[in-house]
Amino acid sequence: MHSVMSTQMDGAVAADLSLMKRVAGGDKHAQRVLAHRLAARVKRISQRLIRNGADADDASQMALIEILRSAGTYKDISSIERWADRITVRTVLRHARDQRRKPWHFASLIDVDSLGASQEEPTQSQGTARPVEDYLQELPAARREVLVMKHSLGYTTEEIAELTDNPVGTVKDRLVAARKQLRKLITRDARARGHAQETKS
Amino acid sequence: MSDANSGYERWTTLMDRQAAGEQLTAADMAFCERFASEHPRCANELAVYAELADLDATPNDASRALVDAALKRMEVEEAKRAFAELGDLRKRRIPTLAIGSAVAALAAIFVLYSHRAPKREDADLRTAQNLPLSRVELVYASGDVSVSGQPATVGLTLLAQGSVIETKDGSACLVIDPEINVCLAAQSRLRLSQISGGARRLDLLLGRASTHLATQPEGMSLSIVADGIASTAVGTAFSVERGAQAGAVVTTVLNGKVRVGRQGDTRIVAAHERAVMLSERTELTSVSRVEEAPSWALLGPTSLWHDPVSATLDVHGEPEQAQALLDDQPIGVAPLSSLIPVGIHHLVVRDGARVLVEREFHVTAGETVEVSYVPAPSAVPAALAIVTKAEERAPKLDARSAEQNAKLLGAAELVPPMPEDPRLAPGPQSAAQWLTQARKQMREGRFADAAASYRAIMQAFPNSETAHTVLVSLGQLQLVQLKDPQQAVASLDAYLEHSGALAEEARVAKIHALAQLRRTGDEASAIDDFLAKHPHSLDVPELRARLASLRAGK
Repeated sequence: MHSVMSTQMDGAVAADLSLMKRVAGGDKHAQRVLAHRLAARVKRISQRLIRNGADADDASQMALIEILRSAGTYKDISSIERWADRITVRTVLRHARDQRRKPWHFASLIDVDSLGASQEEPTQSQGTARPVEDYLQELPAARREVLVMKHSLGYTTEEIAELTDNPVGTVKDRLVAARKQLRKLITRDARARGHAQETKS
Repeated sequence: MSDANSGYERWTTLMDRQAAGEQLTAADMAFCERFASEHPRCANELAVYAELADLDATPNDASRALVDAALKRMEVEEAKRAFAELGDLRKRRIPTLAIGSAVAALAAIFVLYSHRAPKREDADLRTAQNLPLSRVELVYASGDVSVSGQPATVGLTLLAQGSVIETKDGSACLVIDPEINVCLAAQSRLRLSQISGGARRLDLLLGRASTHLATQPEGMSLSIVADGIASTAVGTAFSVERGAQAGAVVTTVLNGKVRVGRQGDTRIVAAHERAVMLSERTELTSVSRVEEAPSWALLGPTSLWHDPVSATLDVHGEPEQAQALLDDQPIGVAPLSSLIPVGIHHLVVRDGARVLVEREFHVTAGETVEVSYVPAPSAVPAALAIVTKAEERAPKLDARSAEQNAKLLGAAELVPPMPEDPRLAPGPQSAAQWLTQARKQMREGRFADAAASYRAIMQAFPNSETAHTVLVSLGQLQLVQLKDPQQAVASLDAYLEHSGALAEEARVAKIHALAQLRRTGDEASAIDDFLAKHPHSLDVPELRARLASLRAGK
């Protein structure tokens, strides 16, 4: 049984290596195959790291392009997904920093009041569980980034420090602060849920 | 403080310390496990972290669109790079062979952009010889906009040197490569005096123009000239306005630095400064954010054509001056025409607080989506009053499919009864809102409710693209979560009758449903059909193997 599994693993690794070689060699079909394999994951990471949807989409595109261009650097010491995660994080963080440096955002120009009360926002009724992305939206960028890198990507605080170009102590502080803020949001929702149920009954 | 509270405090402290990289003792670990198992409050938190740890996402329409856009963008960037290298090669007078290969790359640019400029003629060849090439496109027009006296068409015409763009009551934007956005306010006139070569020059003949440009390659600049006063930038955002006083030119710098003045008498104006150039003197003042806002607002729509893979959106109807919002961002007042990124969009047109049109649509590269609207009678939801070109091109749900949808709706036994017309019931009022609700219900594991929401879309908006698309979501839900392969096949067949962008997913789901029903003959036929229609799908190897085993079993 063990040898069968090991053979399957070897086969998968060899197939991945072969795929990455073809991508690095400019094989268009292989590029498309790899892009399809990683696109949904890349998009999810971007959406968790960046609050603005349009910026996240843009960052996803850039990350996917960077992954395809870096295929030649892939080594079989980790899965393609783990290898691509790191490129995605670097690209998305760089994009996020660039966006923050921009002096304006289109959204900031909107005169919300002039749009009337029916301005559409997908709202979650109070007292129901929320998807994790909703919680992340409420965290400041620096906290959101360390939280995602720690709990979505499994990076150590040292790795996060290297990726974000911050001291390890700062990363730890931000991580604990992010967890505390997240805990408050979860508790608030749980209370609202309990209150809603009490009112119902 | 109760034991539970102090225990919770200890638990959170330990969990945070562990997250920050600290190794907990065995006793602390045991405490955390025991405490979490006994307190739902901890379970709530752990559930959020479990969701956070889940990065696996199945490919969907959005991820496919991402792949298409990324690959196209990569091709464009590579072609641009080859083009830039060509410029370098020419400077260094490299042998003909090298230039030949770079010219081939230049040809690739023409091929890539040919969907936007189908009629490139001899002028293009001449431009190719006069490097650098400058492409100038009208990408946005709101209200009455003309180019050299002719009505303007967004997205189809490349603007020639010497063209004059004029706005009446609306605004217009054009893009000059590389990445120069210029927007004209109402009652303005701009001439494209020099659009090739390193020093591009636009003459503002009337009104106000704002520009936002990326850092330009070395040797390239942009000047907006009014009354002989040039405002020149390399990489910045600024606005030029012909003042009320005769001969006065007002330059407001939003970002970066701009050189302003007449030949031999110029000065640098920095960000958040305004220079008022009069014939005898120059006045320099600081400007507030509020004063800058109109210029930024004029440049607002530039985010719409950032993506190189574009489609065109046309919005028109009565009353004019209705506010259009695309993906919740105001994009101007109708009638308007603009390039937009490909993909799924949500459009709302409103007159004050009243919604005239609300529409979710999918647009592909090069496609034009036309949305017209009429003042909606108060009793009729405005969403019913629109016609789109996209809808005309999209698979029409005729009477037969409406009947089929009705059959599907009638066959539902698992769902709670729906109100006769979901639009009249409290709750979501648009297809997009129903979709949001369905996704939320899916996340919460309320699968029967999610199926009901999908059906509500089909019932309330039977002729919409969304009603067609949700058949696939409904089919997958019936197959996987509701364990009803029979109904899944019915939903997926209804979708496949008119095909669409999710045909591949629908066929795969149908094959799985037939397998669950043990209809092996039908399953083999469905796989044959799939292999013929999607020979390059990533599922091909697996399905070939399945087909072989089905045939071997016969």
